[in-house]
Amino acid sequence: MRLFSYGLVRALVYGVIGLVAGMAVTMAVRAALGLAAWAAAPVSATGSIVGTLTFLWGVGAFTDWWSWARGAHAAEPPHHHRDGPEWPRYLNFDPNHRIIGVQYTVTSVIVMLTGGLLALTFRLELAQPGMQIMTTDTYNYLMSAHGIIMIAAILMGVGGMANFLIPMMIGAPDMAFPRVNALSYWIAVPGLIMVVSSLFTGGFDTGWTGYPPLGVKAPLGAQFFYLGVFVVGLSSIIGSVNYIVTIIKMRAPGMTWFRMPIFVWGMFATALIQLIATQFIGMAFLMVVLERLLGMGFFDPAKGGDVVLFQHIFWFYSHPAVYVFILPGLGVISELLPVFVRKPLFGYKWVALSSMFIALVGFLVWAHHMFATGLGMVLNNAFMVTTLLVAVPTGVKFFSWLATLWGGKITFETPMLFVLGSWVIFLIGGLSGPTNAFIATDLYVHDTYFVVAHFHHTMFGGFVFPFFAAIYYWFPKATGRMYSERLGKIHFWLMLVGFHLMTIAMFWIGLHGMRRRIADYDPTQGFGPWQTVTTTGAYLVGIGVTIFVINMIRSARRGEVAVPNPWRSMSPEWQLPSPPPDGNFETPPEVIGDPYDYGLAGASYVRVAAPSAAGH
Amino acid sequence: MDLQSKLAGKFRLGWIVAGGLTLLTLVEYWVATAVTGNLPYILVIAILKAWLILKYFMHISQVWDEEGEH
Amino acid sequence: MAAHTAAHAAPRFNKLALNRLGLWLFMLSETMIFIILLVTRFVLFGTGMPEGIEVDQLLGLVITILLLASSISAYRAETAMAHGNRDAFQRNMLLTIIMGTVFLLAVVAWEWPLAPHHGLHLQEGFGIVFFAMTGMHAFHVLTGVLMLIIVYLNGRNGAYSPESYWGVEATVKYWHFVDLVWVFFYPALYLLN
Ligand SMILES: [Cu+2]
Repeated sequence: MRLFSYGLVRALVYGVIGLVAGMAVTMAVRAALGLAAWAAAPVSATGSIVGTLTFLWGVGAFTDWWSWARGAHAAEPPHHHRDGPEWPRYLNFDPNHRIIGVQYTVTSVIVMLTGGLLALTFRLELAQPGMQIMTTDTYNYLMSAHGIIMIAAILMGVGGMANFLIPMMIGAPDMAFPRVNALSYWIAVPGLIMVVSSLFTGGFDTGWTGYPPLGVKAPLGAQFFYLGVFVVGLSSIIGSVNYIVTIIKMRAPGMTWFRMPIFVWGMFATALIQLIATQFIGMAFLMVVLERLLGMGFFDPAKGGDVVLFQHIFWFYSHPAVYVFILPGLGVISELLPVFVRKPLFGYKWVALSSMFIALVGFLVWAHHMFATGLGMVLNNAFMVTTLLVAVPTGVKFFSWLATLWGGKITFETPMLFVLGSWVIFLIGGLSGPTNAFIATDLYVHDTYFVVAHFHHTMFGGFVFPFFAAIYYWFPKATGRMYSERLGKIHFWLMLVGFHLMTIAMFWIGLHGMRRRIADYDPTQGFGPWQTVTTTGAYLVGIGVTIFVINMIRSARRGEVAVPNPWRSMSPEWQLPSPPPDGNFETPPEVIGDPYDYGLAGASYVRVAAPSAAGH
Repeated sequence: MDLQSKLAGKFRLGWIVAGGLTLLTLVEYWVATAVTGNLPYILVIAILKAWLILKYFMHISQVWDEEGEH
Repeated sequence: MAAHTAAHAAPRFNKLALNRLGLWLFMLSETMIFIILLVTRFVLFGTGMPEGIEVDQLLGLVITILLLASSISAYRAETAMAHGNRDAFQRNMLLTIIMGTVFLLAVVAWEWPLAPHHGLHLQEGFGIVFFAMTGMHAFHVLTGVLMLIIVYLNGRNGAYSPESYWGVEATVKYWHFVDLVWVFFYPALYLLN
C-alpha cells in the first residue's frame, strides 16, 4: 500500500469510486422517481461531479478545511518533512508555490502533447484531398478536442509560470493562500480528465467554441467537454484570486508598483481577466448543459431563447482569454530580453501599463468574433474600432523590445532564441490581426485558414515560444541542473522552421478560400500541395517538441549541476539557491533599484541576505 | 466607552439600516404595483439598497483603508 | 528546517487583510454569475414581464423581507462577536440559520412546485430564467446556510474571540452577498412591468 501514500494515486482511486457511486445513486433516484434508471447524460453528469469532489477528497484537498469545520484549528499550512527524495511532493497536495508551479508546468506539457498528437493525426488526413484514414465525424471530434485541449494546456502553463515565479519575483515567502493555491491546481486535474474523456464518450463535433444549437445536439462527449471546461475554469478563478492578493499585498519592502518585474505586471493584468471573465465561459457552458439535460431553452428560439446570446456570453470570456494566454508570455519576453542583451528594458513604465491597457480594452472587443452573425453595422463598427485599439498597447511592447535589442550585446542561448522567435512570430500574428478586425476583410477571410494561421501565430508567439523560453530559462532554478544547450537549439530551429511552413501555407490557402474546420476539400482548388506543406511543418514542430521532452527528462535526472546564477540576472529569484527552500527568503529581500538596469555601472535591484548554511 | 455600550450603538445602527432597507423594499413594491414602466425607479432603489448593504453590513471600506482590525 | 518554517510564521503580512481582499475578489467573481443571469433575463424578455406570467407577489415580498431580516441578524451576530457578547452571537446566528433555511424551503419546496400554475415552466418562456436565477441563488443560499451552521457550531465550542473571528466575518459577509444578489433578483423576477 505504499502506492496509496501518493496523493495522485489516492485521488484517482477515490475519483473512480465517486464516479461510480454518483452514477449508482442517480440511477437509484431515477428508478425511485419512476424513470428509466439508465440515461447516459444525467447519470454521467452527476457521476462526474461527484467524482471530481471525491478526487479532491482523495488527494487531500479538503483535509484541513474538514478538520477546521469540525472545530480544530488549522491556521497555518502544514509543513512537509523534507527528508528523503523530493519527487513525491510533486504527486501530492503540496501548498508550496514552487512545487505547484512545476506541477502546473508538467501538466501543461503533458496536456499539450495530447492536444498536439490529435492535431498530428488529423493533419495526416488533411494532407491530401479525399478521405483517407478517418471518417468526417472522427475528424470533427479530433479537431474540436485539439482546440479545447490546447487551450486547457495553455491555462495550465500560465498557472505554472505564475505560481513558480510570482512569489519569488516579488520577494514573498509563498502565495497568499497556499492551500487554496494547491486546490487550484488539483481541481484542474479532474477537469482536464473530463475534457480529454470527451473523446471516449462519443466526442463532440462543435469545435472548441461549442455553439448551440449544434452543441445541444452533439453527442454525449460534448457534456464532458462542457463540464470539464467549467471545472478547469474554477481552477483558473481560484488561482487568480491568489495571484491578485499576493501581488497587491505581499511585495518585498521597497518594491513599489513601478519596481515590479514586468512578468508580474503581466500576470496581474491576466489575473484580473481570469477573475472577472472566466465566469462567462463557465455560465455559457453551464447553460448549454442545462439545455441538454433539463431542456431549459436558453438558446432555443422556439422556447423563447436566443442563439446569439450564447455567442455574446461566450466571447465575453473567450476574447479576453487570449490575453490570459499571451500577457504572461509577453511578460516573459520583456523579462528575458534585458538579461540577454545586457541593457535596460526600454520604456519600463509604458510596457507595464500596456498590459493593463490590453486587459481593459480586451473587455470591449468581444463581438469582433461575430461580424458574420448579423449584429448590424453600428455594433460591428464600434467593435471594429475597439479591436483596432488593441494594436496600440501591443505596439508599445513591440517597440520597447526593438529598442531594447538595439545596440545590445546579444548572446544566443536557447531561451533567447525562443524569445527572438516569439518576437518574429507574434509580429506576423499581430500584423495579420487587422485583416480580421476590419469588417470588410473579415467577412472575406471569416472561417478560413487565414484565421487559423493568425490565431496560431498569436498563440505560438504569445504563449508557446515564450513558454519554452521560460522553461529553459528557469529550468536550472526548478531543478538545480542545466538543460542540454545543443538539444535546446535543435528544438528551437525545428519549431521555428516547422511552424512557419505550417502557417505560411495556411495564410496562403486561407486567402484563397480554404475553409477551416472541414475534413475534406475540393482537389481542383489546388490546395493539396499546400496542405501537405502544412502537415510537414506540423510534424517538424512535433519532432521538435519530442526532443524538448527528451531534453527535459534527461537533464532533470542527470544534467550538469547549474551554477547559482547562470544568466547573471538581477531578479530576486536568481539570488536564491536552486531549487529554493520552502519559504524562499529567510529574511525579506529589500528592493533598492529598478528591475532592469543591466549594463549600468553600480546598478542593483534587490538586496537578499545570503542563505545560511544550516538551511538544507 | 466600554465594549457593551459600543455594541449597543452598533446594534442601533443596524436597526436604522434595516429600517431603511425595509422602507425601500416597501416603496419598491408600491412602485411595482402603481407605476408602469418602472425600471428606472426600481433600479435606483435597488442601487440604494445595495449601497446600504455594502457600506453598513459588509464594511466595504475595509478594502481600501486597513483600519478595523479584529 | 526551523529556519524555513520561521519565514512562514513571521508576522510580516497582515493575514486578515489578505483574507478580506481574497474574499472580496471571490465575491466580485461570483457577481459575474449573477450579472450574466440578469443579462440573460433582460436580453430574452426585455425590461418588463412577459404576457401571461403572474408571479406570486405576496410570497415574493415575504421571502424578500425574510432574507433582509436574516441579513440583519447576521450583522448582529458578527457585531456581537466583535464586542465579545457570545450569547447575542449565538442567538443571532441561530436566527440567521433558521431564516435562511425557511427562505430556501419557501423557494424550492413551495414556490417551485406552484410555479407552473403561474405560467412559469422550466423549459420554456420566462420560466427558464425564473428557475435559473432562483436556482443559482438558492444554491448560494444553501452553501451560505451550511457555512453558517459550521461557524455556529464552532462558535459554540469557543472557536472565536473578539480578537480573532475571521470565520464569522467571512461567513457573514458571504451571507450579505447572497442578500445583495437578491436585492437585484427580486425586482427583476417579480416587480418589473
Ligand atoms: Cu477576439
